[in-house]
Amino acid sequence: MNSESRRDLLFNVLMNGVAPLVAILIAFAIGGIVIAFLGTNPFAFFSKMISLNFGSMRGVSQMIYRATPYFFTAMALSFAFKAGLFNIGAEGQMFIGGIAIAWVGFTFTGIPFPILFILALFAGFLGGAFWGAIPGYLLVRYGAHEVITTIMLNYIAIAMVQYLVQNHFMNPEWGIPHTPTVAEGAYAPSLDKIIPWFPAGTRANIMFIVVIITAVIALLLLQRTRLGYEIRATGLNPGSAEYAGINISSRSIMTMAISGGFAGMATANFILGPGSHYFLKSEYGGIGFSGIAVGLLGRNNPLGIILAAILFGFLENGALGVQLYFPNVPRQIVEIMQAIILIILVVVIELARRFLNRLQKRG
Amino acid sequence: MAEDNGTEMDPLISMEGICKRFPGVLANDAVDFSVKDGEIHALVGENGAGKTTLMKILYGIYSKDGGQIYFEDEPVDIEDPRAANELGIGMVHQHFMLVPPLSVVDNITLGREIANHGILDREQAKERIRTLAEDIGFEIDPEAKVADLSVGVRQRIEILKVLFREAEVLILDEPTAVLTPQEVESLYDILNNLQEQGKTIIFITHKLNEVMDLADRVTVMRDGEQVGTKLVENTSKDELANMMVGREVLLRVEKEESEKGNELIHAEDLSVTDDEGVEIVQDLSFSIREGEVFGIAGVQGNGQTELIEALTGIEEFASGTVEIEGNDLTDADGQELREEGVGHIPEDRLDRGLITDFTVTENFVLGYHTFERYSGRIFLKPKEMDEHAEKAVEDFDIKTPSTSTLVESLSGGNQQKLIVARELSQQPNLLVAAQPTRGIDVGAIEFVHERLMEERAKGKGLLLVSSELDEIMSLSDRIAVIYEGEFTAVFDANETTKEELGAYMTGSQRQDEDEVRRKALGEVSLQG
Repeated sequence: MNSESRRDLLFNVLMNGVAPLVAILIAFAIGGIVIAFLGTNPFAFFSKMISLNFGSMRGVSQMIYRATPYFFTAMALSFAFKAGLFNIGAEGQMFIGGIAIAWVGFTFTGIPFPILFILALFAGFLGGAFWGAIPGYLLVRYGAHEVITTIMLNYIAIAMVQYLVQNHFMNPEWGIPHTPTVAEGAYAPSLDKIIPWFPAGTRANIMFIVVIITAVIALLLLQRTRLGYEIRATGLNPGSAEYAGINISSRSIMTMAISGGFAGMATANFILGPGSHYFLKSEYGGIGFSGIAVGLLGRNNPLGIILAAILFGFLENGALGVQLYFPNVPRQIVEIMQAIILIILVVVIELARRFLNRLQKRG
Repeated sequence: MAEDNGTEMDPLISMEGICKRFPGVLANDAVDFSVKDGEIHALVGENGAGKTTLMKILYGIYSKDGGQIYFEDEPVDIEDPRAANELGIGMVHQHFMLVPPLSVVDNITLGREIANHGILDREQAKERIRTLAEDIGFEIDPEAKVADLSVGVRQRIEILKVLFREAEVLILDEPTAVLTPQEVESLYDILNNLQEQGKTIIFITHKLNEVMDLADRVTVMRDGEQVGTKLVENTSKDELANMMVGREVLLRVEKEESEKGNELIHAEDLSVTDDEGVEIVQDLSFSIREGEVFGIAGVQGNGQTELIEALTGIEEFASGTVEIEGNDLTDADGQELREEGVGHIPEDRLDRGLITDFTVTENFVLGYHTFERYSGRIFLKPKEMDEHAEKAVEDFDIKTPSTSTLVESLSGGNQQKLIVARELSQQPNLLVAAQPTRGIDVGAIEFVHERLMEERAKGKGLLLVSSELDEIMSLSDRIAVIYEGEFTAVFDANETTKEELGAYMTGSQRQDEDEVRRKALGEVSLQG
């Protein structure tokens, strides 16, 4: 019996701790080799990256700013995963949520802070939830596989958002298609307003606090509530959930809705946070898809996802800054490394699983 | 005291002092085991006694930590299954290792293809398979797709696979666990035929009936140790059960007379249809009173599962009415039924009864998680859930390191005890129990039976569905036989025999339809 719990602990440490770390280290090693081939000293490159991110509070806050949206799209993947569903539609849910955030922000201009901010954020959640509930319904009602429908709904969402911005919300005189700016009541204050260590006017904003609150709520929801119990039961064993009198259809739709809702809040960081204060579609492309990688790297655990999102923020922010110092290393090296992390992670997890199996077998 | 257990004879295989350690567990502790040429040797023991481990060592799947294996008196080193095959040892695993989309012939020849200049000679392979099958008494279509075949036939394919590799010694790991009673019968025939051909058979089981019916000798294991080898003719089920458990075990249940009280459930003309609208359950009527056990006997797949799933709110009835203590609950869902005091031990513990990745505590409220005791409108009440689980674990003697352990790591017997404990600890008035002791060992079976009889004595009603006739006979007050979705007979449990039930189970006999209905509804006395 004791050995069982020891094995469980070993399993946990290997799968959720060692595997992601090994994947990250290998990705840095491969990235370093590529950089060396490009004629740049990889150690200088990476140490510059580290100092750009961690060398000053401004760097840290830029990193956090870049990390914030990834958390939300990663949560979309992982939350659905808890119920045994694959939500590959965070991209589309993020766009629908984004347009809802902007619409509330520029429509109800008379409402003061923080009410309008909260309303806008909630609208983002609802927009994403609506877009997530559609594949949930199609799955339950017609058995349409959610992987296919969520992917397809991404394209519809992108086209729809484009249409709304260009034909309804946009002033034709503006060069780039974007929505009108949101009212001040919807602005997400900079983090320095709350935590004085952050430099004044930093782009990192209270959406990062929302990230932490969301992670805690998601954990509580899954572990401590009746709904969470039913969602996990449905995901782990639909037959037994049915036996327990759980309505697995309604739980699946609800899971997809909540999952989509998380993705729907992803762009609030850009729209409501310090900056242009409007919805600019071209700025957000890919964050939904990267969320898949972040969710997997975070091992589908809300706290792990925060760490994984910060890593992605680190890479992205570092890539933007490091260009100035090493112009012959293309910024895309970071995207390559993100992809490598994911591929290696899958391999390492499989190897760890085999290792544990052999351990069990050979004794 | 040199009791004859047949060991003096020259053994074909002899395993001496076999040790095998897994992290924290000594799975085999200096085990001696020997097999004679041409015998059927049963290896029995409770779950976790180390039977399968020992056989996996013999078949080269596990490496041993100590001891020596002799084959025909020569020391041998069986490093992997290939080495075992070369010695003529083959194994039929509990979980079949077949490729369902492939045909029978492709599955059997996989890895041992018969080829002519690199081109597969399927005709020759098919001919050999047909001959092998006929030799041991059945026919098989080598071109059939495995996916379309029943579990019983798949098992035969596994046996053919081993024979195709020219095995002389066959190891079968709990071969009957997945079979229906008829399939078990034909497996017996096959094994007997194999023995006549001079093959040696080792089979792992924890069902003592099978040992008595089939084996020449039996070796008992307990907690990783070999506790004895007996000639079957010199032993009894009781003795073997005591050896397995290490204490006196009651194989027969003490059933006292119970007071029959008010009617608990009154069901009339229940029908269930499948997706295509075919009636799986047809116009069943029955009633159960307080203190009464109503058993439904039948070969699996005759509508029992569908009846129970509809009765417990998982599926729906196509027609008919169910009244429980006077309330119409025909269309009630699982939650409502639980609130009305209907408990349910499902027939499939892994696909229905448990969530193995949940903790013991979480499993203890499965289905009851919406009860006010365990949750508010939104939040669960972890403290109350835990207290309930702690108490039930103690009351029902469930072996688990803690209530926060994942159920996955509990033994099958303890998993089943958890389900029984969960349902009984909610003190249901009516308990629907399907195969309540399937796949669990003697000690746990005794425990479950005792608990069920206690409920009966307390005046609770019990609907029992089981394919084990012994179980139905010993627990029930009245027994209905189900065949193709209909009751073909209803008996007083004291006035029937297994043979009689068997005849009605295959549909070869039938009582008068109207009489069956009235007996099932308890409207007429069953005596005489």
